[in-house]
Amino acid sequence: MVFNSTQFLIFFPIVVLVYLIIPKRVRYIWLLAASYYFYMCWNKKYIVLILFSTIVTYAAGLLIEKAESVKVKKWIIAGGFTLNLGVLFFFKYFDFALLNLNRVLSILHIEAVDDPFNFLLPVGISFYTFQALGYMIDVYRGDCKAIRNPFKYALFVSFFPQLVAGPIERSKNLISQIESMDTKFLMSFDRITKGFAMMVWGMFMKMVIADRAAIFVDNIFEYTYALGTFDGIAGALGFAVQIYCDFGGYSAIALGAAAIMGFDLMENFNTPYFATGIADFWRRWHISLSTWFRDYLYIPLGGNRCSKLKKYRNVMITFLVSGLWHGAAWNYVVWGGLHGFYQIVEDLISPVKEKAEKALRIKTDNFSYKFGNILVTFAFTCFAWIFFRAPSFSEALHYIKRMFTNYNPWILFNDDIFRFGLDIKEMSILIAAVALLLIADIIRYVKGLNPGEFLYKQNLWFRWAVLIILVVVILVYGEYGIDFDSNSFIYFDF
Amino acid sequence: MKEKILKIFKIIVFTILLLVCVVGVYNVLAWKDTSGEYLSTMKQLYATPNNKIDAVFVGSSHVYCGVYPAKLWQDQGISGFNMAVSGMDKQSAYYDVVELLKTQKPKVICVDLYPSTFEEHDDQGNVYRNYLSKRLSKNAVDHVNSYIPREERSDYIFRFPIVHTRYKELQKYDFIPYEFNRYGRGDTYSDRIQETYFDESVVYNEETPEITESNREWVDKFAELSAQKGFALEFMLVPYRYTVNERLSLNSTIAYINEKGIPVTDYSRKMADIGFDGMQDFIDDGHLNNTGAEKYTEALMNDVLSKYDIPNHSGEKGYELWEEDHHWYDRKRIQAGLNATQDGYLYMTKLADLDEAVSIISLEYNYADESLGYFGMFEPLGMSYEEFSTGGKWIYADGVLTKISENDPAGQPFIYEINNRDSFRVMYRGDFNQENISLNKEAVMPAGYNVTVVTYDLFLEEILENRGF
Repeated sequence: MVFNSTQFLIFFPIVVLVYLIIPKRVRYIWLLAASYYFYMCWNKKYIVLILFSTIVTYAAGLLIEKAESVKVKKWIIAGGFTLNLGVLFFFKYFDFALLNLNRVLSILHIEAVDDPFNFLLPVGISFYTFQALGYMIDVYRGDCKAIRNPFKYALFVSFFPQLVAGPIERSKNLISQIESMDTKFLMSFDRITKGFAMMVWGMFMKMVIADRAAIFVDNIFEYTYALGTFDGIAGALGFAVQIYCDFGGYSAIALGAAAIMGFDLMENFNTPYFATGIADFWRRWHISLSTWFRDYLYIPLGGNRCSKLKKYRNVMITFLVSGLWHGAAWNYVVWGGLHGFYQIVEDLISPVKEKAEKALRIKTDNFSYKFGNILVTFAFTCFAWIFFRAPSFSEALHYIKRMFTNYNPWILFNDDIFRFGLDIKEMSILIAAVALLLIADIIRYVKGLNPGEFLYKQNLWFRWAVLIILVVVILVYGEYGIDFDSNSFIYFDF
Repeated sequence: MKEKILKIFKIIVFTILLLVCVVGVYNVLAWKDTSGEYLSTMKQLYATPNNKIDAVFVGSSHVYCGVYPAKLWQDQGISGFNMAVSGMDKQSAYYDVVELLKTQKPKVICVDLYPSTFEEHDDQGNVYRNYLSKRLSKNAVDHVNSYIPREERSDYIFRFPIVHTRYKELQKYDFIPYEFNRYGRGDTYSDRIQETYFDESVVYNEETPEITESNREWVDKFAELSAQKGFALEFMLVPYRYTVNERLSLNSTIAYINEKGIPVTDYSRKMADIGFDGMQDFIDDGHLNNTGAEKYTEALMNDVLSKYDIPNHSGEKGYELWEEDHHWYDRKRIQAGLNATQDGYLYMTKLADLDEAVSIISLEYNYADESLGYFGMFEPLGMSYEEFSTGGKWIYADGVLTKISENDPAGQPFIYEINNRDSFRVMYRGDFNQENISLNKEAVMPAGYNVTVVTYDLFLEEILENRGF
């Protein structure tokens, strides 16, 4: 069940209404049942994997707390990690590993090994696995106590708004809210208002922008062989918009749905394309994942409290693993590596840059300086997205080669740009919608308010008018229904 | 507590406002038959006062083109209703009748057998025509469930997933009601002719295979409904050029209907009795034209409707829609009459007799050439030779002919506001320039003629005829 489906439109109000009327003490049971149902709508069998991950990490949490020696605790952590990452590897990386093994075997002229399995990638497996692993580490570190109630813990792992594509919640944040469900009435009018606005905004991002941009981007990447400079640039820009609105839209709906039920989930995006550097970009993009890697991988590796060389090694490892987390293919690894490389270069040239700015008397406290940094960062990010979106590493290289060798500015003037699935009317809708997104992001950047919070601060007539117009715009201009091959949210695959 | 009540009140008001807006937008986007001039027999049904329809005809475009309720009204004051939908399938025929029975108590329902010749639509447009026109109700949901695959049902029930992309094709009648849907009784009118030949070896093929389960079920359900709701059930077959396979399917269905003792008339085998002429009475292989439909409707009156005690409602209060529909039918006949008239004098005579119309007449180029004899045409309109010889542009309305402009390229355009929506613009931009007469922004003057007449029908609110001589 995806958020932008008729099923969810029926499912969610029923869940909320029942949640509202049943006694507090059984609410977590109801949400757990709803979460499992939500997941099982996609694939009934794979609920076993969530149950497995839940049981292993629940037991590990209790055992870690009970264990007295650090050594035993470490063994338990190691066991928990092995079991969970083993499942993740088996379902997500086995084929990739086998493919690479066969490449090596073919070089050595040894017969290839057949794939004995043909499993479907379980939706959201990387998200709930990482959330559960984070809990184990938090218990080990003493950052949170092990949960006694298995059903509440199961709800923590499977809470449906963030089950399949995050945010990857921290135990400290979500568990405390689940624990207090018995005693506190979490729902409130304010939260419902903000949550509804966030859900509507998320649907707008996903259905009006991301899925429309996807038509354009898919066409461009399908015709890579005929690509030139300007359609190549348009494709990269289009994908930057698509993935932001797809994943940002999902996160907004998740935050909104949780808020309506009285839960505060962590923000996953904070105007990422207004970042003034790559490090800044990763403080704003997929925040729940980047902070997870920071806290549970980068810092344990030594973080930046070590030599420059080791720091860069840590950065590179973290980004390569992050790339691999996104998908079992080399282009994801390259994408991650590219971001790691950007960050290292950024750090290396930073003193030189500062000196040059001083020598050239470049003012750094004004809009143009910041805007310039934003543009440069955005350009590098878009370039990296080519590796992320391309079907393979070699196709990404071909795409980039065509961009630099086939100069074709005329496509912007002879309507060729409208041959990639979006005619002039559809392109105008996309541009208008992106303009609205830009306004929302500027408000977010300047005032620090997400669309839900911003609208909540406005007068009733404005709030209602914006929400009603957005709903109508989604219903009319959204990409859905018959003849539309709905892309699931891109991040479901991770 | 007061605060809480206020918040709940706000939620309720917001929800109502949202729903009103969504429904408003839906009504604009709702599926409409853009290829069928926005016609909807379902809308015509919903516009009908309760318990007024006595005779109903159900089927596909064969029925739509073949049965003229306006003729039933004209000849016998029968309040008939043609509830045809293009490509109507078995399920749609049944559930459309159920929909009709919610508000009407017809004495007889005649169901065409064409739906029994196929199981699945091969035209997506016909699926939309049949499954998106009903008001949302349990019956509409049952209808969808009876045919649409499970995974698409919610799209057909909520409809937005299907209709929302219509924002790309919105036109005038998406925003304002298509007037004919208010009073139409399922009528149409076409004077097109295509010579159509019938293969007697197919028509009289007597091979009768076993009836299919779906056809058996279909006939049984109608029989049950008839018994339950108390209307007389008749099956019929409007003549069309069917294939051998279709004929075999019809044979088995007709045999089963006969077995059940339900009246059935196969008009494709009674074409000679009715006086059908394949050279004159068909629009194409599948559909009757105006002369064919008039013959067929008459045959229905004589063979089928005469068996039942159907009252003559002519002149009765409450049947105004049938009067209006008949008036529409008259206008269409006038239109066809004008269209068929080649002689200029006769054409102008008909124009002079025409009420509820405005005509713009243009005299250009060689109009005064006596050898072409144009002047004589204008006698019925009361135009003198002196007037004729000045040429230019004229308007004929309410029996009065008035000159409106000379053929002067520098002259100001003449604007004639016909009604709130339509206006004529008349000017001279050179001989034979189609823009010399425009309706709204559309050039409507036939090109290449010395004398042209453009007639607008005030009742139909459209161009009745544009003709060049």
